[in-house]
Amino acid sequence: MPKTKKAAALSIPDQVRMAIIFSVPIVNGKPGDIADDDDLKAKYRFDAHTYQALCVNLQNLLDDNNCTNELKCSDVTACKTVGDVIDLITKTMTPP
Amino acid sequence: MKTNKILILTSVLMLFTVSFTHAQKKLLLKVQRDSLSKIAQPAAPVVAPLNIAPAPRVTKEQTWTVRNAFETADEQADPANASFTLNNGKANTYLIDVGVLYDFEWLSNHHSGHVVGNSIGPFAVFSRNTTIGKEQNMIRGGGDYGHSWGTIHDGLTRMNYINSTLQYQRNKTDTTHSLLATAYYSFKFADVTDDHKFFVNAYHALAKNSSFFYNLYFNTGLEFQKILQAGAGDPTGLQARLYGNTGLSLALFHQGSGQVSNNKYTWPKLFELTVDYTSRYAYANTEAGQDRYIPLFKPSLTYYPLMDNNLSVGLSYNNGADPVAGIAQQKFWMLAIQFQK
Repeated sequence: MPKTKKAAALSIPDQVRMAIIFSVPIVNGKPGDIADDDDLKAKYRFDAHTYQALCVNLQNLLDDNNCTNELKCSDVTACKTVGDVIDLITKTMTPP
Repeated sequence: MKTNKILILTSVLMLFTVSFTHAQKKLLLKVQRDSLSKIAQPAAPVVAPLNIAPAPRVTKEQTWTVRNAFETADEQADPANASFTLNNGKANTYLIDVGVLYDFEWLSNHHSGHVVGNSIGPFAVFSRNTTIGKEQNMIRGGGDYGHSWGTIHDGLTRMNYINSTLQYQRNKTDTTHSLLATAYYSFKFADVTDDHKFFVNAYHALAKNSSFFYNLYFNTGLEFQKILQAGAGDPTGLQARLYGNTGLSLALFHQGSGQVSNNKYTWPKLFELTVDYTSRYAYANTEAGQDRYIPLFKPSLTYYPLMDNNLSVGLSYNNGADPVAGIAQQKFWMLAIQFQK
C-alpha cells in the first residue's frame, strides 16, 4: 500500500509526470500537460540542477510507493523523453 | 488408667499441635501470598521499538560541461562563445571563449526531502578575443568544488549552492601569471504549489497564461588573486575582493511544432533579454595603481533557433572589467554564436 494518500490517488506514470512538474518547476501543472514524447531538454530546459531535482523527486516517489530499489541519477540523466523516465521508474519498481 | 489418660491426652494434644501448626503454616503461607500480591511488582522493562531512520539514497555520477566560466553554480549559464570576422585587407579577428569541466558528483537524498550534494573536478578555459580594443588572451585551469544543500520535496525547491575554484591563470595580454581562488554562494527557491510566490534562480511566468517568464538570480562571494609574475615594470601583488552579481532575465517561450500542451512552462525559449551586473571590490589590494572598485555591466539579447536551447546567437554590450576572465576596463559590443552542454 502506498505510504501517502497522494501516492495512492495517481498512477505511477502520473506520479512521474508530477515529479517532472515539480522539478522544472511548473506552477499548477497537471499530468495531462506532459506528453510521453516530450523531449526533456528541448521542452523543459533540463540542465544539471533540474536533472538533480528530478532525480530527488523520483527517489521520493519510490519512497512514497514503499519501493527501496536503487535509482541512479545517471540513469535519470540518460533519459531523453518523458516516456523514458516513465519506463525507468516502472522498471525500477518491478520486482525481480 | 491414669497413665492411659495421660497418653491419650498427650496424643490429642500432639495431634492438635500438629494440626494447629499445619493450619498456622497454611495461614502463614496465605498471608505471605496475599502480602506478596499486594506489593507492587517492578514493571517489566519497556523496550522502545527500534526507530532507525532509513539510510539516505546516495547516487554518484560523472558529467561533462561546456561553458566559458565555472565559478558560479546558478542556472544562468555562461555559454561558450565563438565568432570569426574576415577583414578585407586587414587582420582577421576572432573570438573563442570556451571551457570544459569534468565533474564527479555525489547526491544524498535523506528521504525527508533534505538533500546534500557534492561535486569535484578539473576544468580548463581558453579565452581569446581579438575583436575588442584591449584584447583578451587568457588560459586558465584548475579544480572546481561544489557543495549544495536544501530541500527538494513535493514541488518545493529550496537549495543553497557554494561553488569554489582554485585555478592558475596565464594572461598573455598583461603577461601575468596568477593564482586565483574563488568561492561563490547562490540560492534557488521555487514552490509550484503557490503561483503567487516569488521564484529565485528559476523561471516563473510573469502572469497567469503569459508567454513571458522572468528569472532573477544572484551570486555573492570572495576572490583571492595573487599575481606570481608580471611583465617588466608591472607590479605583482595580492587582491582580496568581495564579489557580487545579480541579474534579471525576461524570456519569451514559444509554441513549437507538434506542441499539444497549453501549459507554457513546457514550451522552449525563443528570445531572452538579460540585464547582468557584477561588482567587485578589492578590500585588500597590494597591487599599485589597481582600482579597488571593479564593475561590469552586461545587458544581452539571445535568440534560440532550436528547440534544444544549447545553441543560441547572442548580442551583448559589455561595460567594465572582469579580472577573472582577463577582460580589461573597456566598452564593447559582441555578437557571437553560443553553445553549452
